[in-house]
Parts: sequence; structure tokens; C-alpha cells
Amino acid sequence: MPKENRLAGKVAIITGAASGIGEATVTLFTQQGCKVVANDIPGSPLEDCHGNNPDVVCIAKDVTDEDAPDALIGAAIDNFGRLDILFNNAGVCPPEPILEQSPGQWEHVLDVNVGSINRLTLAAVPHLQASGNGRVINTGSIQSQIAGETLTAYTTSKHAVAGLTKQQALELGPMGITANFIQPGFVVTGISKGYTDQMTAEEKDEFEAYWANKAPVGRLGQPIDIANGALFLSLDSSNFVNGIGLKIDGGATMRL
Amino acid sequence: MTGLLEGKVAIITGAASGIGKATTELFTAEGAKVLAVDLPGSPLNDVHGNDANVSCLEQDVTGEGAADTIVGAALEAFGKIDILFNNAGTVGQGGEVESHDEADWMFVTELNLHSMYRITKAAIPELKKSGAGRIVNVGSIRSEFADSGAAAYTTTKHGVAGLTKVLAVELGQHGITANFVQPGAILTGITEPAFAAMPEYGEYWKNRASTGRLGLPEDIANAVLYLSSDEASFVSGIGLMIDGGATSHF
Repeated sequence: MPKENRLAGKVAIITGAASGIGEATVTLFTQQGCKVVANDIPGSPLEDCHGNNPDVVCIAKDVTDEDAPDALIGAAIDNFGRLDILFNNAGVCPPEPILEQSPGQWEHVLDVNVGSINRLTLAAVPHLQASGNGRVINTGSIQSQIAGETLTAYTTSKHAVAGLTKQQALELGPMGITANFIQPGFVVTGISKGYTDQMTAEEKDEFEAYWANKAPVGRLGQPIDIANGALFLSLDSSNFVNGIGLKIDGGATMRL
Repeated sequence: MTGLLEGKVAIITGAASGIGKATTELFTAEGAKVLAVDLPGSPLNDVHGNDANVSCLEQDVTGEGAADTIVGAALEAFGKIDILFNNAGTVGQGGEVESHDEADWMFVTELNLHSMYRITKAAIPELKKSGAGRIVNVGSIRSEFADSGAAAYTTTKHGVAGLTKVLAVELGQHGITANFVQPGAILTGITEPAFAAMPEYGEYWKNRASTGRLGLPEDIANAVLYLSSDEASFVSGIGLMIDGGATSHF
């Protein structure tokens, strides 16, 4: 298998595609011969990111909107005639200590990070089944297993992603669809920038140095690291990988 | 067209059958040179003898001086080592602990764990020079789970998890990642007799994996390829489960 065109003939939907992991994955997937429906919220720089890529159709839509599943899956079928890969990557990560949660925040985070995955996947199943090698890839986190300071709803939602993904793997497997989740460690993205921007410059340096040191490989993660993991899970040759969390954290969370 | 492992040199143990054979074939197809190691008397040369990118070494990994012999052979054949795939292993005789033959315990731990430690130790100085060194060890779903019988196998596979994580921590600063793969029920040279003798065993695992089939050596080889490639440079210290979803539900 050559390095190039490993996703030739495939069609993917990638949410959260206007920055970070989603943006890098759209670019990587199209380089590998895939057609992509790229989604992010209205007002995001989605068109700026991918407008010039002829293999991408951009759909600005909030994944929590009632008509989001129909809009995204419809765009894949109308433009490309099929759907092979659903990368549920959209997510939010608002920092809120457990005793200082604002009204509605919990519901919002859970709906974006988990509820939307469930709804999008349900709508995609008939097409993923027709693919013969359907793939659901959900963005979890190292916080699918452990907690993190001030990230109450986020940690809960990412644990829920693990559970939902395993349930999808169990029940969609017989339809020729695998479901797995990716567990990024600290990756430099739009979402992590939102988290670190609330810190002073000194705190941010300290936080980033902590993660670079905690990871034995000695650096922070980059979006392409996660995109490469999503590529691996998307390959036809990965069809016996099912129900797993693929941790991509430079080794940070398995050490004491 | 370039392969994912263009310019890389790999050592693969247990290379005459099953997962090791499939991985050797995939690696050379992806541009790597491979030192393929298996037991004297194994069909190693029959399997890989015609592949110009494979150098075959008949060597018992538990033999005296095996680690130095293997590392030396890789250097002599190809001048460097980028990837070490510690794949040789055995299930052993099985049986419950109370009635288990202690000699089998010693044999299984020697082959599955001690030889892995020694070969890795000998290869580390060369992997450090690579800049993108990769250690991939064969674990199992039994690196996390247990069943009645196969105590030595289960223990060593848990040990593989621990050894791999320590290697990941110690060697990350040198650009080396260390990970283990966790095959589920795979049809290989090791397991074929068991599946043939107990068809209900194969049926059980087929049904348990929601993908509805047993694993094949190629399934594992493709995962080893990912972990060995430059694309996985931020993946370290993990167990990569390849079991069709068999162990992610009750």
C-alpha cells in the first residue's frame, strides 16, 4: 500500500472542521483521495480553511441543531453519492470548576460532545452499512478515563463518548461498521487555546511545559498526530479494530 | 509511490508464521528491510527466502547470547535498526495453576517475557541512533483480561504491558516510542490447532467479536505498521487492541 491515496473512493463527514484536529483531518483525508463534507458552526472560518479544496463541501451548521443530521448526511449523498466515514469531532471544552457551574452549561456540553454524536451516527447508519466498510470515529479524550482541573462537564462528556462508542461497536459491528474513539492528550488546537487563553502567560507556559514534560516523547501534540490516528482507523485494513479508545498523548497518561 | 517504511530497518521475531510472517511481508512491501528471526527448523527460509529485502536468521530467542546475535545480524545485514517487533511467543501448555507443570511456567516466561527484555536491551543503543526508533511488542487481550488456564501466558502478557510502558517512559527522550498490540482471537500458526480441535471455541470468539469473524494475521500486521510508521510519533505507551470488539462489551 503506497503512502498516497489510502482513502481513494471514500467519502467522509468531518465535524469541527474549521480548526485544529478537524481541519487537519480534512486536509489529510483529501490528500489521501477522500471526498469530505466539512462541518463547523456558522461564523467559523470553515470556508477560509477549505473553500479552495475541490474535494471538500463546506456545511456551516451547529451539530446540535435538529436538522443537522439530515443536512450533513444529505450533503454527503447529494454531492458524493455515498458515505463511508463519519468523524464526530466537534466538541466544546469550557472550563468550569465543579462548584461554579453556570446554568445550562452542563446540558450544552453534553449535547455538543455526546448527544450530537448519537444523533449524527443514527442518521448515518444506513449509508455506512451500504459502504461495506463503514467507520464511526468519535473524538474522546484522555479525559475519557481520567479527570482534569475545572473540566467538569467536559470530563463527563468524554467518558460518555467512550461508553457510546463501545455500544456503537457492539450493535453496528454486524452491519460492517466499526466504531472507535480517539483519545488525544494535550494537543495544540483551537479548543485547547480557549482553555489556555483564560490563563496568565506564565500559567500557560507552565501548563504547556507540564504536558511536554509529562509526555515521554517530550512535546505537545499537534493536530496532524490525531489526524493520522483517524486515518489509521479509517483504513479498510483496520476493520478488525473495533470498540477501542486509541490514545494519542505521547505517553503522558500511562506514567505516574 | 513510496511505502510508509521506506528506508527503515526492522527486526521481527517469530517471523516464520502467523502475525510475524504477515508483518514481515507487509513491511517489505512498505519499503523496509527486515531481519526475520525464527527457530531453527522453522520454515523461515521457505517463507521469506525469495524476498530480497529480508535477511533470515534461524535463532531461538531464548538461546544463549540470542539478543546479541539478533542485533548483530541486523547490523551486519542492513547497518542499522529502526524498528523492533518483539513478536515471538507461545501459549504454553495451559491448564489450571494447581495442576500446572512448573517447567511450562519457566518456558513460557522465558520465551514471552525474558527474551523480549534481553533483545530490547541489546537493541536500545541502535534504536537511539534512529531518531524515530520504534518498539512494538506482542501483548494480548490477556494483557488486561484473564480466563481459567494459561496462567503463564496471561502473566507474561500482563508483563509485556508493564515492560512496554516503562520503555516508553525511559526512551521517549530519544525519539523512541514503545507500544504493544493486543490481538484477540487470531487464526495463526499458534492458534490453528486449538481452533481445529475445538470448533465451538472459534464459534464463541466469532460471535463475541461484533464484526463476526476471527482475526487474521494481516489485521495485526496493519496495526504494527501504523505504530512503526512516522505517522505514530505521538503514540507511545499504549496497548492497541485488535479484537473485532470482542472485549469492549460483556
